[in-house]
Amino acid sequence: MNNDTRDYIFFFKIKVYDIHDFPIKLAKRIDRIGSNIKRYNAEILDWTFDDELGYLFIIVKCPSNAVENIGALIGRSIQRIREGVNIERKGSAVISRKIFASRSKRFLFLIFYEALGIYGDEIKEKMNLGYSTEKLRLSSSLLYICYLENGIDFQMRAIFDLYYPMYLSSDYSPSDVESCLSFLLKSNMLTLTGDKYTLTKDGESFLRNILEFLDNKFQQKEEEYRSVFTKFDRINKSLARIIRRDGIFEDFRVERIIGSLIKCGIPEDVVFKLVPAVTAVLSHIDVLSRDDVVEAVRYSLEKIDRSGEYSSIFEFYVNTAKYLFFKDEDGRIHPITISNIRKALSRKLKSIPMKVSEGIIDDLAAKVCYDLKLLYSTVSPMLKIKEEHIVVDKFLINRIIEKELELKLPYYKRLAKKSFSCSEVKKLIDTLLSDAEEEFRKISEIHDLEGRIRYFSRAAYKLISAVLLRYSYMPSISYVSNCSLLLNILKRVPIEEALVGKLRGFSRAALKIIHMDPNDIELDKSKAMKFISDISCLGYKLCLTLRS
Amino acid sequence: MSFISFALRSLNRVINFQVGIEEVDCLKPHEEAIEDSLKRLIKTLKKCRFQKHPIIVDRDSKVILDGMHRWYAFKQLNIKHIGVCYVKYFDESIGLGRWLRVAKGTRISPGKIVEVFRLNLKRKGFDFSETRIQNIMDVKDIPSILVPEINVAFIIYNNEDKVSLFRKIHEMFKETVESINLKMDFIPDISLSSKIEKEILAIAVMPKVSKSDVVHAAGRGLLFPPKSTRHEIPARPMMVNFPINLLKSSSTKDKVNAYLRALMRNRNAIHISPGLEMDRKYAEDLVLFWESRWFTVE
Repeated sequence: MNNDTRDYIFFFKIKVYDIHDFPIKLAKRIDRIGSNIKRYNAEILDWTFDDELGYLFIIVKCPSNAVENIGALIGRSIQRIREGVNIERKGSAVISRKIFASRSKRFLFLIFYEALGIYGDEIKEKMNLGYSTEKLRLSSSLLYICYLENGIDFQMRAIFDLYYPMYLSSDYSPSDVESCLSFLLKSNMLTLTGDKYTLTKDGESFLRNILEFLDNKFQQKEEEYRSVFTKFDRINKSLARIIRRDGIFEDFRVERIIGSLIKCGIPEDVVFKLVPAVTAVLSHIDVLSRDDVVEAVRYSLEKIDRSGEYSSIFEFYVNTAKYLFFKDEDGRIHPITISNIRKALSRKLKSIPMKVSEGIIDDLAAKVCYDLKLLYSTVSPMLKIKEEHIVVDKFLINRIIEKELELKLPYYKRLAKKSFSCSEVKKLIDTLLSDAEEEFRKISEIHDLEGRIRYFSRAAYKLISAVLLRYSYMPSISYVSNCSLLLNILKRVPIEEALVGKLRGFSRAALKIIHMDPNDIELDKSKAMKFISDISCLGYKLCLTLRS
Repeated sequence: MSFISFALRSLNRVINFQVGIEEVDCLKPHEEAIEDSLKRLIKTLKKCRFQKHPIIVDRDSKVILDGMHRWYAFKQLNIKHIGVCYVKYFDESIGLGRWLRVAKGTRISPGKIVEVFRLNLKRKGFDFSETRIQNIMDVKDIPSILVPEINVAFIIYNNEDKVSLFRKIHEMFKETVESINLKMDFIPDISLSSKIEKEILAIAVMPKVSKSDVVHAAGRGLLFPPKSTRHEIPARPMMVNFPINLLKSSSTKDKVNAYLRALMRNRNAIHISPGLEMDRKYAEDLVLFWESRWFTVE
């Protein structure tokens, strides 16, 4: 690159009619622009798009004489994304300083600084220091930045000025930082060579003492969490509420972390080792953002597995929408999120003449999303290195959706056929009712409670499925969801009064029976046997009525 | 104080500013809003999830220097907090200028314009004298009405407080201009030093205002007409993205600021030299708080 090569920021204002899939198309296009501008000895360093204002910022490292050409090339290329994209180049400017601190260093600094706030007095006492806790906190933090950033030169000062203040929770002014640096120089903890501050041997040993002290404290905390591990409530209550990027608060839930880690394929033994470590780290941070929680898990995973594979799997799992996309029927690209899959599912289910309950669609969408996450998590370490995104094949998504529908809705395959006819549904209802009738009739011949419950459940499942089909609802694989769905339908479906009452009574009783524990010492077995027998009678009569 | 203190080193000077969330009710406006702009802004804000850029406020007096419309919009929308950037107003790096009023539109005879102004100045009780523009030593410093094409100046001598005089001249000028089917527009006072555009038929040179005038007026609840002062801020934080949900929170100021800090921890910062054009041309240093699209920097 030329000598006059600098970092420029290009700024565009973009108007698009349908913003929905634009960011994804934009991401692809910027990839391509990155290759095209190489001929100007230029490279894209970073970019960001504000979809609310339509602002696009692209940082390009390029020679000054190529700025105009690159600006025009970017504009033209984005304009070509699709009809209806209106892009206006607003300008470009030289970047004086880019302060990009590494994510892991930021996190280390955060926990160091926050822990000093908690243990500052103890450290002071232990190390017999004659200055204030606040001074200890600031000076140790500066030493730690020096350690993390391998010294602080003039360029690095910007990190001090613009970046690390975000961590300093007290009201430190830049002059406080200056005077603290002078103090550290005087105390021979730092040395200044040219414009660069570096740690001296004394500074290093001072810092090492603090780090060892903090390490012990973290281990103690971890042990504490390990011993109360099963009491999630206590852990949850001990941690602050979390703020999401959009400003919404949510409670800290350790079970969610465990669930996510297991779901994304981290081995169970690693998860159970990890959770106390994560909560111990987080318990030292006063106010948490969702990113802090994710970072704490990533940090702890990296400590356990230095190769970074576990942390990649985790990153992929929590940020799937950044990496996995799918194309819908109209050729639009969407990130794979539960809500987007749900929309695709609802569209698919519209083509069948049966209704599917909203709860089942929610479950199905979550399951399809999870299947895809799990399937693609194999490539997650690669995705982290290549920073790419994958558009999942439409055929594969359809196959997974189809399979999940078949598994979750046992009559789906039969009823979703193109040759579907009403007589087929009638035939299916009739078969289900006659099977149920036969089974209800035989229940009195079964003399053990466990067998009777099982046999009753089989018959009741068929009867309830038949009734659901009669009201054009697709029954699911779950007995309990079917009963609940039927009870909901009966609230609003017009039907002869007597039959509604009987069906309602039957569904409630069926729910009660499925939850019976035949080994429960409190259960009056003969009473339970009689109850099942009576409800079976009701079931039998309902089958007869419905068939007629 | 729970704000985040930043320092920006630019051209051998250090610019200090603080970013945080403040209660809307404890800030003081010093100018009125333009009704139409305010309505448009409220409509936009209702759809937004973030307040992108902070408003600029004097740390000591809590007077709003820049972002008046956003403050009025937040107040009308009943949002408890607002994202602010605190600066030291009396620091010499912060400049204070004015917006002048100009008359533009279909050409009418300059003689007629002079005649109408003369009449209206009298009618509104202004104490004034008529002279040639070049007879005024420093044209920017004296409140006056100028008709550049025929070199006529009406110098205004009224000895009222700045806010009243500002308002009186603003209203008289607007009324006069509209009575002869011209349109009132605004130009910064610095443009008086350069060649005046041909389509400008008359100029109202507004009274010179000092920082103390602004602080005193705001402190007493007095408001200048819309677009009166023009503040030059040496450095401006941008794209801070204060979540509206957080700004609406009923929590204490300290608590919301602690959460803002937690959100800002995951940002990078980019310092841009003066000259970037966004919604307007920024003649000041900018600090862009950046949320990376890629994870390039590890």
